[in-house]
Amino acid sequence: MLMKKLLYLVVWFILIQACNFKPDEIKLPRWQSEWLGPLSKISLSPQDIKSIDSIQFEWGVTVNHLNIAPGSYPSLPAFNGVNLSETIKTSDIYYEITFDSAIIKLFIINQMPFTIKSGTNILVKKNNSVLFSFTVNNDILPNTTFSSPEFDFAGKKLYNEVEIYLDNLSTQAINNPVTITGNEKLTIQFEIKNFQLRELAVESNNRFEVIDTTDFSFAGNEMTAEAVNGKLKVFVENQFPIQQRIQAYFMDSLFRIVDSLFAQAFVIAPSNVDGQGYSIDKPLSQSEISINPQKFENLKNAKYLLAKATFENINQSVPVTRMRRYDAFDLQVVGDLQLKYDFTKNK
Amino acid sequence: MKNLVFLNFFLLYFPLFSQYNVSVTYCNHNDVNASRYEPSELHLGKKHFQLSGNYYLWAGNNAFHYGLFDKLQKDKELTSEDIDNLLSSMHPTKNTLGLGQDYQILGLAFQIKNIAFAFSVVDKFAFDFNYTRNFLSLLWQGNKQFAGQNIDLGPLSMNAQYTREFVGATAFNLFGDMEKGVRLGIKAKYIQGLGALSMPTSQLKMYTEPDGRYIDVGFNYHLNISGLSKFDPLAFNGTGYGADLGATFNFSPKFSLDASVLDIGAVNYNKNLKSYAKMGTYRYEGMFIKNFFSVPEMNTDTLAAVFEPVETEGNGFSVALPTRLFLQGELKLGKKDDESLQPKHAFFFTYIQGFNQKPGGTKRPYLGVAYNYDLHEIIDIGASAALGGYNRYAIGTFFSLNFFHTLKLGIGSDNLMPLIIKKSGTGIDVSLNASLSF
Repeated sequence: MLMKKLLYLVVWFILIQACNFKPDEIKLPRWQSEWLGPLSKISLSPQDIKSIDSIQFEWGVTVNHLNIAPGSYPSLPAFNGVNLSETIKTSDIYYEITFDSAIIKLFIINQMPFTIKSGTNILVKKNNSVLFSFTVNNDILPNTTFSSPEFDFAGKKLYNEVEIYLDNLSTQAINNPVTITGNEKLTIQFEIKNFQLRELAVESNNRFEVIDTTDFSFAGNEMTAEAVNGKLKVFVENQFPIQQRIQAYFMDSLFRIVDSLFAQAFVIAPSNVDGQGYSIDKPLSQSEISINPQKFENLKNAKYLLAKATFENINQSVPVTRMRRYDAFDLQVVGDLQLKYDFTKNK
Repeated sequence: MKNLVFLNFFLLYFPLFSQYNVSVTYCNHNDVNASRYEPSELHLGKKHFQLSGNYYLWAGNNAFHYGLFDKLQKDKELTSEDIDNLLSSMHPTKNTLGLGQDYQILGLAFQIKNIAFAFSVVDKFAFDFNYTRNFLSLLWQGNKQFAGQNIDLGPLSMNAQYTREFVGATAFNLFGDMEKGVRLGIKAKYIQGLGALSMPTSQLKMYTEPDGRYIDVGFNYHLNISGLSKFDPLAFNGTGYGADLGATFNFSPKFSLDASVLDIGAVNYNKNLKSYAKMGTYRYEGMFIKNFFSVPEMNTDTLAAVFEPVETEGNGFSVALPTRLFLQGELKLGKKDDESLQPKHAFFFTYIQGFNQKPGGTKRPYLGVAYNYDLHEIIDIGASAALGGYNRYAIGTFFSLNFFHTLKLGIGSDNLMPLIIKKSGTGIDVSLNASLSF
């Protein structure tokens, strides 16, 4: 009998406890934890900048260059062996670009009333050094575009200013009446594409800005947690010999700015350079962003990130500083967040 | 249904530790059941044949106690303080919970003079889960607390094994008799492994750079499984051999010492096998965004691939038995029951030392004392207390009824702490015994 009682005691204990225990009724504590770790890392280099994925520059040769005044003419004589040249600006950003690999292509858009005859030679020079040379081997009829084959441009340089020469320009005569408005032109256009940069040089006291928008998704979108007393730490290791100011704006699906990464633009120290303008270090700059529940919600709602970077070549001891293809600034966002979650409330 | 839910919760939340079924050696001292733990104690007294059975259910752990569960029921609230207290009371790296059950399906013994022979079939299931305080603390409090430290999150492992043992045993007096002399016991086992889950390595280390700029993770885990995808209690996926050896030193009619080494051997699994393994280190510096100004790409696939295990099939593996040393001294006072060899008063001193950490065994030493009272050769009743083993502390009791020296029914437990001192109760077990002797 006693044995049965003991057995009963154990079984009773378990069963009674089971009947009394209702997990759903248990109030659970708020989960409150502190997490420290990297969220994302972005590496930007000259090669990544979308706005120079393809480089174009052109020279528009007008009727004025041929000394043809606007007006009506019963006919126009042919031009033979005309030599023209012009210095044109290719960019406000760089002083000089060196390509590891690239393709260059020439377009001649003839909006003159006459045919350009084959044999016209086009040269691109800088300081008497020929960067590109091509002789047109077809006649270019009015209102047509001539496309050259693609040429290898590897190892070549493109400067912020180049001289374009149009040598041995010959045209066909027009034997009919013709009206010149003054807007007629011959566009010599160059396109450099599929390139890998070897080097990008920037003059001192130059300043340029890059703006781009990308999709954004903040980690933890599925959570209803609030992050309080947290902060985002931003670290930048800058190998560019130019000072940068960066800012990022978080935007909702309608591209309305809901918050910014920094209260004020984050100023990033430039790398130091050697006598030739090459960076010799990669200084670390850092900043912190306090984050509160409102900001957390803003970031969760953000769908796009507008990134803005301003490059300022100041305070350097050399006239030109140089960024190599793999020089970069690495931006890392680290979360130092206290997360809370109310299990009972969210049951 | 609620009972089942509770039972599951109880067994999992309340981690149990593999227990040793020591109570069966206290109140069924000389029968087939007890000889599973003391091979040389197989002796049927004046009987010649015995048929016996034993069922043992255990669960235990070294961290969670019943007091917390009881508080949950009363207050209906689990507080942050409860969890903090629990974490602070845990061992930093060596926490285990386990559960299991043994069925002695068949136990037969016969005795000629003082030489006893036995044959038994025992099904054993044991499971353990090993974890660290660091890992739970990471989940609960986050990783900032560990910034700048190299910490072990592992071992984080599970092991389980279901075996069926066919056991042949003999015990005989080497010299002297049961009052003064030496008696030897030998058991040989052929073991069928029905299924196993084995994690021989489960290392996980983490370092958080003080500013949070990177997190280094080092890992090395190896998981072997056999027979789990389609478990069949009548089919086996491995075989093995084992042995128990024991000697009883009867120094006098009043004092004896049993020394046994149990579960020497291993089970080799060679059917229905799968292995998963991966080792390496990884530095996480955040989701790396490439092509930021064109088509941004994140390295999520790379991150997942780091931890994705290499799966192989057909690699056999071996699971060692929970080998342990079992020492038990017995002080016998009062008139002895010649039929069962039980004295009126018996005091036991037990020491168990495991040699490996396997399901059903632990390296933590176990030290126990017990007293058994024999009332009119009909009732045996007693109590035990112990330290160590799978539990911090344990208090148990045992009881058996002897009908005409023929039928003996017993129930016992090594650990009823949850019923007695809730905050010290970290496990529970129950043992049911029956034997029929002629």
